This record gives sequence, structure tokens and C-alpha cells, in this order.
Amino acid sequence: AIQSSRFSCVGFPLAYIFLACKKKSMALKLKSSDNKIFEVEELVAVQSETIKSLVEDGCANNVIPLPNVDSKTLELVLDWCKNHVDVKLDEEKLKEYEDKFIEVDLAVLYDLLMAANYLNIKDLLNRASQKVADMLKGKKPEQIRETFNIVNDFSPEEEEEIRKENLWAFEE
Amino acid sequence: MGSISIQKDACFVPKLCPYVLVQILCRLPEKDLIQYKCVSKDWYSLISETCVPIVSTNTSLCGLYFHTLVLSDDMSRSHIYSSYDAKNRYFAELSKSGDRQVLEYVSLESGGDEIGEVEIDKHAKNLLDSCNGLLLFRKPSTRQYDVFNPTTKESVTIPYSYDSYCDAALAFDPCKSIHFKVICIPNFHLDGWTCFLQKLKSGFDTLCILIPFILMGPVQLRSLFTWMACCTGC
Repeated sequence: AIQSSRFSCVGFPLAYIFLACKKKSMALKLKSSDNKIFEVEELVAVQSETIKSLVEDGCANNVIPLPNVDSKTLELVLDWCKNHVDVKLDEEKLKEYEDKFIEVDLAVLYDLLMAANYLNIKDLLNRASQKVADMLKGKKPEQIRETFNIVNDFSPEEEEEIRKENLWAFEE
Repeated sequence: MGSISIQKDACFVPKLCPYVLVQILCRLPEKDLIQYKCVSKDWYSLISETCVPIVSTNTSLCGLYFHTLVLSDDMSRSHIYSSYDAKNRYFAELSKSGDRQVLEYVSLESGGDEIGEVEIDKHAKNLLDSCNGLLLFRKPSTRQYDVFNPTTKESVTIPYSYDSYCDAALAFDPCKSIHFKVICIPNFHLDGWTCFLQKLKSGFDTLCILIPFILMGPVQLRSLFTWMACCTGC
């Protein structure tokens, strides 16, 4: 009797592993903020850590709603994921793809950043952040405020103080 | 239509959540990053409290300048100053000093042609620090350290309180503070030096952990800092 009960104990995790393996090939359904349904392979979708944890918790059986991502952005993001699924893809080609992918206007770049952050896709977030950083590089604080419409909430004295404290950074 | 898209671009960064903004800012050159402290109060605190620590831990020092001095027991400042010439000045690349026994250095006099090696424990007695033009001397006879600015010819004296043999270095991280710090490496033999080099390699943040060895009382500390502030201000 003891033997058989032990077997039934291991029986459950075995079945679970089998199910998990079977699920790998399944397609996931993602719903964008404007209610468009995207059917994607799980392997593609789980590059998003957010979706991955949903799958691991077994919450991915139905449609996964993504209320923070619109369909236009989701399409781009999924394209990125598809191209990063195949690790065998040679580096040069991947770099070429990434460079082309990121050549978008600021508004799209903004949506991509927010989506990459929400979906927790590290490499996309890194690439998009780098793109914005390249755009900021070499600008003066005044230009940054102007370009990005930031209100300077320092008093002239306070600003002078910061400049004095960090003199080395403000020298030509 | 064009103006609408510009409008959207214009308020692009402020709408980003702080995490994403940090991701972007940390990829900027250090000089730009520090300049952007004065963009707004939000940016100031984000840069000072989040970005600078991240950047500091990720950048390591590539090397250090040092000079060797042969000091007589009754050393006077003029004596020390006169011996501070090019033939005693070196640049050591930390990345190249993988060998625990030896520090590779380039003599500045020979203009980098002559690459030498120095056995650290053999020469350690005469090795003190220089940092951003400030020199750090040891005066065993009076049990004092002397921080000396050769440009302004000003100096500040710091007594040492350690009984055991130890050595000190000047530390300066402009991202963190405009003040210099004198740090002390107790038991200045090979192990201490190797450990110190490793700390240097891993960046200034870890270097600051050495600060508990600081050899100053609060009052002297403040007077040194005030003096340092004057020095760096001009």
C-alpha cells in the first residue's frame, strides 16, 4: 500500500510536466488596447517576461488582455520578438534588423519604450533607450527643456548652485 | 498634420515613467548626464539618486598616476617639492596589473616608450598618491599626511592616528561630490595594495567603503573639505 501511494505522488508532477511540454507548441491569444486579437506562438510571446510569468502561472489559457499596448505598437513588438526567437540568426543580420527597426519617429519610439517596459522585454527596452540617448547626447540643458517641453522649476539661484557644484561638467 | 506630430514629440520625455527615463539617462555621456541635473527638480533627483550610483558602479578607473619619492627623515617641503619631477612620475594601467606581484607602469619622462615594472612592496615606502593635481605626502617624522597643491602652493596637514604601518591615497569622484577624500590602506604590504587595486578596478562606489579608515577627526575633515572646495572652485 505504501509503494502504490508513493507512485501516485510522483504521478502528478509527471502529468504536469507532460502538459507543460504539450503547451509549448500552442498559440497564445493577445488582445491589444483597441481590442484586436493577435495569435502568436508561445515561443515568440514569452520573450515578454510579463507574458512568460502569466504562462508559467497558468493564466494564459484564454485571451491575454494587454490594455497598455495598442495594436499598431503590438504588431511592431511582436515582429521584434519573432526576429529574436531564433538565436541561431547570425549577429550581423540581427543588428541590421534592429537598426532598421529602431529608425522610427519619436512618437512611435515612445510607444515602443512604454510597451517594452510594460511587457518587460529587456533587449527592446535597451535598444529603444539607446536610441533616445543618442538623440539627447550633446544637447545643452536648455535645449533639453525646449525639445521635450519641460518646465524649469528651479529658481535662478538654485540653478546657479547646481552649476557651481558641477562646474567640471559645464566647462567646454 | 506636421505640427500635430511635433506636438506629440515635444512632450515625449516627461510622460515616460521614471524607470524608462533612468534607462535612457544612464546611456548618456557622464558630462551630459551631470549637466541635465539642472533641467528640472524631477531630473535632478532622478539623476543624483538613481543614475549616478548606477553609472558609478559600472565605470571603473583605467589607471592611476603616481610618483615615487625618496624622502630624508627631516624632510622639508622644498625638498619634497623639488623631487616631484617627471622622472618620478608614472602612470599605471590597472587593467594590465593582473599579476599580483607587479604593477606595470609607464614613466612619464620617457613619454611612454619605456614600460617598466615595479615590485610593489620594495617601493611602497616611497609611493604616495596624486589626484587631479593634488599631491599627498607622508611625513613619518611628524606623523602627518600633507595634502599639497603645487599650483597654489597651499597645503593641509592631516595627522595620522594609526599605530600600524599604513599608507593613504587621495580619492575624488566628481559625480558624487566636489570634495576630495583621503583614504588609508592599513598594513600597506602587498596584500593590502592588491586589495586596494581591486577596489579601484571595481569603481569608486566600492572605493568609498574604504572611508571608515579615514584618518581625520570631524573638525579637520571639515577644514580640509573647505580648503578642497576652494581649490576645485578656481
